[in-house]
Amino acid sequence: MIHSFFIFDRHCNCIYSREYTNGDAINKTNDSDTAKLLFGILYSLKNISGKLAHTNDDSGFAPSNNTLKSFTLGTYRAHYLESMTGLKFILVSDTHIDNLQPVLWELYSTHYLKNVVHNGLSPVEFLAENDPYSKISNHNFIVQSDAYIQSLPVYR
Amino acid sequence: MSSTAGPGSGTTSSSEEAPDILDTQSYVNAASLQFLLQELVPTSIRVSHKLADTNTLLSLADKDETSTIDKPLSSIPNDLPGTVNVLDLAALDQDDVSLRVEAYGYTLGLKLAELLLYKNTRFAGTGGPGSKIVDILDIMKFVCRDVWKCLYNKQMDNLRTNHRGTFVLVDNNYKLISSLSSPKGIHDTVSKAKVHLWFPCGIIRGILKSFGVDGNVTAEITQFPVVTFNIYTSINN
Amino acid sequence: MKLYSIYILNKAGGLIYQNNLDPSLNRLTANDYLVLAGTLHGVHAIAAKLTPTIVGKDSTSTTSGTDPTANNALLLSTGKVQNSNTNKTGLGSIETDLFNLYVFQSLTGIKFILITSPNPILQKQHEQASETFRHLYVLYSDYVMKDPFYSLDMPIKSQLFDLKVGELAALV
Repeated sequence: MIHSFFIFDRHCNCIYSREYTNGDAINKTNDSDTAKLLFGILYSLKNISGKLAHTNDDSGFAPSNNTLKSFTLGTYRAHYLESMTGLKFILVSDTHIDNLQPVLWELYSTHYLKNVVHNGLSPVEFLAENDPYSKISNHNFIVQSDAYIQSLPVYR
Repeated sequence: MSSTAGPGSGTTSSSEEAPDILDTQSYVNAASLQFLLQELVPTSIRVSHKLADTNTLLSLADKDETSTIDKPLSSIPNDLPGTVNVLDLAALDQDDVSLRVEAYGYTLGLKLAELLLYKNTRFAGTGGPGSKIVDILDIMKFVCRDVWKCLYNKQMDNLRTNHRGTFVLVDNNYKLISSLSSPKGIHDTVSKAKVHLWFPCGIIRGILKSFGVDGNVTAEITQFPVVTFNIYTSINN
Repeated sequence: MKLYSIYILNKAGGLIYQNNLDPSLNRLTANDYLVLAGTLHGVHAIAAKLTPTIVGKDSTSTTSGTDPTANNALLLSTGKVQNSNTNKTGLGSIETDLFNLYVFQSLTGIKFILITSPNPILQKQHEQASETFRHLYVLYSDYVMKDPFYSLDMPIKSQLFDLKVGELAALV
């Protein structure tokens, strides 16, 4: 089962949050600062995974960092994908779902690019909290990403 | 706009002939072009804003620094690179913004007509593709078929006329605006998309002008992304 | 599954045991290992706070299964606990390209951390890790807790424990 979906931009702001199992809240800012805590965990774990191991290729390039793919929090598993531009996509599912990397990639490569980057009326740099453009809230993105996630066999 | 900017018609011209201008055109990345065209309206707003404010005009004259992510593009509030706040400015509906966008299209239209007609004329003589343009309806067909094919790799979906100089051209999925979606809902999307439409209006007017036809072109969005171009000319036929 | 490293953290998040069994991982400085342990301890605490809210539920509705007093009552009435792992809300595991990391927290707040080779079939590896944790906990009880020269929450320097951990790692 997929519980929720988050996107963070490269300035550490949560630019999209969507809950699937408890109501249908979109971009709801809750008191518990879920997104901020999640980002904090992500940041620390990313550091750890980079520090403990890295891939060394002999081609002379700088060592590319070990990438974090998922982590479990109690009974949930958070799947993680970071784009080269620093966008972070997170899907929260049950622990028994092993790998949602292709799903995250699809959300990035199809839905984000098509409905945010190609959309001239949507910003690609998101502003602070109180601005009307601080989150992804355009109709097309929400509808299409929802339809995609809900069509997955692991959704229910 | 078309991802494969038409490689021209596959006619077997003799090898001594110089290659056709339209045949030699390179492929253009559709996404890049689309992004560039989306900058038309914000740029126009910024120009209007700067012109209206004499103080900034003076101070900006000697400023030639490169833009960075946290440096505003103009004195409009929150107008940072990558954001779209500039479109919320009241100036969006101002006439000079629309006129400037329309003027870009008009120039493009004048030049484009020359290119397309050059080709048309050449083939008309040799019995190749291309048609004689004799009356105003032929001009409209030329816009629907050749111009739209060149710009968007598709044709207009519908052409109607009252035979008294008014023409209605319909594109059921107009590429320049089809990917627009405002976070504030469909009404906001439509009102912002309308400003973008002055660009193709200008193109059509430019094409008409190169045939010697003075016309008045407006566009409206009935059901997004269907765009209807209304063309009023003084020619009766 | 191949064991890369084993760490043990005391309840304050201090690193009291580390054993790098396999050279696949980077060598860090002694200080970096302490920082790493502290970070994991902190993340675990944040994760425990986050777990009930991450799916948008109220923080009160999901705590029943992890209430320590309920666990204690169970312990008193039956004499045994169903599961010695209290790690139901905190950080459980991390999966990366090059390694997997598993966290097990005992009822007393000791954290055992395993770093293993990555395995795409997470569920199976998770079970293997739980099994290893069980053995490790037994070893810890037998060779650390029963060591009369060991003082609680201090670094573990027992060579016997080292030896046994090595044997365990060879079996996995």
